[in-house]
Amino acid sequence: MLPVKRKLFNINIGAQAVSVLLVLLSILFLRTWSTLSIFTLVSLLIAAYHGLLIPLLKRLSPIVFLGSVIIILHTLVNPQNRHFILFFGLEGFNYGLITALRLLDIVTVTQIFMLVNPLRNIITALSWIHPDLGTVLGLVLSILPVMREQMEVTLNAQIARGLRIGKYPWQRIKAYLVVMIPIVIKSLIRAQIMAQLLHVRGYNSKREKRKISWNHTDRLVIAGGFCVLLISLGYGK
Amino acid sequence: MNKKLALTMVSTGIVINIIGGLVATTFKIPIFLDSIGTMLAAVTLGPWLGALTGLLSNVFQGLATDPVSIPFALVNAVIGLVVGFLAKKRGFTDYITPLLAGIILAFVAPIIGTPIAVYLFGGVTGGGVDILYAILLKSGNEIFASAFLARIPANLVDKLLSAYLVMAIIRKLPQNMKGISKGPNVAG
Amino acid sequence: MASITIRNLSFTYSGAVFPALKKINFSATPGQMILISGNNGSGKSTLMACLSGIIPELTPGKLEGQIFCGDNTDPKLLEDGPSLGVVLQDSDVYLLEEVYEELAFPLQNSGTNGLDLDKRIQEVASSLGLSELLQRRIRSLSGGERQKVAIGAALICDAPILLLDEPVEQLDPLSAHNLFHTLRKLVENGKIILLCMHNPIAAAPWADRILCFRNGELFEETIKSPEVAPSQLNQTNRWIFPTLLNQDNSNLTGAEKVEHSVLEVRNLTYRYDTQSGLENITLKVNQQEILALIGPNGSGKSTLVKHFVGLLRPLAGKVFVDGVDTEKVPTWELAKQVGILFQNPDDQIFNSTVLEEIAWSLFARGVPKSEALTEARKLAAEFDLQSMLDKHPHDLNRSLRQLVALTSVLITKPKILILDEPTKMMDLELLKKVMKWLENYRDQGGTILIVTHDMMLAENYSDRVAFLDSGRLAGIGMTGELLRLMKMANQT
Repeated sequence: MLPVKRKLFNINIGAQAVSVLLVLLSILFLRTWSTLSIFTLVSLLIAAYHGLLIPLLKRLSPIVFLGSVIIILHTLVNPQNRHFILFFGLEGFNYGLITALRLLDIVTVTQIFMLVNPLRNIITALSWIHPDLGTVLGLVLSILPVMREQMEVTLNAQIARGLRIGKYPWQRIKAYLVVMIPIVIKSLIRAQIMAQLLHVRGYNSKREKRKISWNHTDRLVIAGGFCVLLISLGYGK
Repeated sequence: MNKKLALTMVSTGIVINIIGGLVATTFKIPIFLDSIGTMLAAVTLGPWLGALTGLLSNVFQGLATDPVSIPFALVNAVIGLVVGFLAKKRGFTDYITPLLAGIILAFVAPIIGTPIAVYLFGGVTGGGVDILYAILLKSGNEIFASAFLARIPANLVDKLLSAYLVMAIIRKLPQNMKGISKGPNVAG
Repeated sequence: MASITIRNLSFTYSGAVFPALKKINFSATPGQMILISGNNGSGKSTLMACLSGIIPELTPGKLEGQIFCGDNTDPKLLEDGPSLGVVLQDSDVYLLEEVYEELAFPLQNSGTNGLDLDKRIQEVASSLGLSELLQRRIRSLSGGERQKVAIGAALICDAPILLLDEPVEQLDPLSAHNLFHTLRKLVENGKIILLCMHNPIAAAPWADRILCFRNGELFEETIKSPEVAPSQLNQTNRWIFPTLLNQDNSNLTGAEKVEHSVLEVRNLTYRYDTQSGLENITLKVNQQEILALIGPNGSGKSTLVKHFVGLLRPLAGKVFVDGVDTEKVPTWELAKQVGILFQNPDDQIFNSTVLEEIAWSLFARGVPKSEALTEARKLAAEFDLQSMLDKHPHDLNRSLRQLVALTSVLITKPKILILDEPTKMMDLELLKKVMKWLENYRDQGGTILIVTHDMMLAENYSDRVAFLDSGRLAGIGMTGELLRLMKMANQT
């Protein structure tokens, strides 16, 4: 867990999530590069205030790369390019810039949410939407490392029996099957036993669907989200 | 289908999607192969649970690492539906059904995915497909059409290969696992 | 009052020809600990599945007869909670990541939350010795610890009826003793406890009734098994190593005797990220000998043998196979000379018939299909597998699957064979047959390295024994002599 200011810890995940969704919605109404850039700046400042800037930037770097490709590609070949400076089309540049900034904003907001809340908590919170939803994704979290290990073990066992991966595509595809099939079979067997465990441990709908009780801070946060939405609606015209 | 079994099978399908992609990377196969789990779930559990597996796969990936996978959940869900309905009608152990699945998906997946890709990414992927995309745009085609057409070749290869791999895997499963399926021919 | 009543219960798995349970009649009342023994496949687990409702809800098949397993107390007086606590045979499968969550799960399902939840978890954890492990990931626990977690999850809701399938399979004798003690107390408070064990010796003194399954039929044994003789206990017990570490091993014959060494490591060091591994091991395996590599779990046995097929490469030191330094040799090349049978056949089986699975190792080497299949048939016959060649390996029991895996390794006629914990999956009868074949293989020039924690196996078959402890070679020498020293050490 990253060291985040106490405040954020106490805010209910559900409230955060609602707020995030409202903010995301508001991004969709911003249409100029200036408003989108302001948004980016504000988000980064908020992240910095909470000590999340470095991890956030790390997570954003692939998006920045992608954004650059978007801008370059559209500047060069967007069919709506009419006005040019050398090869660079203004319409395309504008389109690319807006798209890239919008993408950046969307990812920034969601990544801040994900940096503040560990995955397990988010998945548990999903049970508010539907109790089985949290269960399914929770199971994924616990099965995944087991299967990763299984992949290693099976790969080793087959190589020790003489499996060679080979250079040609068809050899690699064959090798793929030799490794995947035992993994699939084992995971299906495991799925059956887990279903038995769910049964004998009494999994049912009596599992408390925790009542949503939002306190003052939570309501503020959601209200904040609405404000952002209203502001962007205003600017979006 | 017992609910508890459905839950664990869907979770397993999601994990197989991830592992399937991981093994492909390990063996340096230049194709995603990350919908193996969705297809397997669709064949053994039926189209709707298969679709759920696909959808939740993207939700999980989105929450765990890459938030922009979430909008594409719809595409993965459709993979489950198409494969599921085909398997129900024809079973998935012959040589023709995977071909049908691959071809249908090669067109259907981009149809659903392209609008999302255009809105979020301007149609760009950051990968080799962009070259084809750029060429199509340069030739004067509209953004949507270019993005759509550019995605078809890669999708064709990935979906066809995935479908045939799933067929090969199903064939090797022991009887009692094939029998989970509701499909009339798969339990054969 | 909780009770179990079964009348004329028969069950046939879907797709099977013969019934797994044949007209079983059985009943139990509160305050009874009932031990059910029988070979694998005799019907014990099937009965448990019927009692817990797994059959027919999750497992399809034909169920006939009547079962009542539960509590028929007036519902108004009944506390909300399940009437059964169940431990499944495979305790390596779990639902959640952390021990605490896994124990909390059944309680949450019955509506318990908050402080009551925590209190109960702490209570059960301490009775099983899990208190220190509550925040750990289940994945990082040892087999025995995982088994305790599974038992904890069954005990946690304080259900009146407990069904435990092989609950001490991975537990050390002390933990098993403590568990039986705990269960005995629960029985005295009025629970019904059913224990399934294919080896009932350890549990017999604690049980009120002993039943036995044979081929789907249940028999009540009126004679309780005799008390376990202390010497017998020591043999299946984990040994005490430290006393040997201080011994001077150079007097032991065989330690330095070099005939032709086919496997050798010199000053081998290997470290995992977690700091465990191997430290400075020097060891030789001679041609046509059977060497047993013994040590407690985690001592590095599997790590060591993986070096012989190139799955692991040394951090320091050298590895030699048949005199050749393995450094530049790829694994598939080493696999031509060294065959290794891993612990779990399900990690590698991927063909849909036994025949193909056995033949695959030859296909992988480029042998033409028909030739490979013929070879496979011949070898299968030597192990009495001819009648099963067309079956799917997963339709066979675990023991036979391990045999199939072994055959698929032997078909390439490796000069050196490594067996990693063969007793884990193979039952005793089959293992005896296999060892007989392998002794023949040895006489014809083969060399065998057996990794095991089973002393009896080492005693009965190996020429020399090497002890590994915490990644170091603690001793090596002729079997008879070393084991004699061991027994002396254990008795002091």
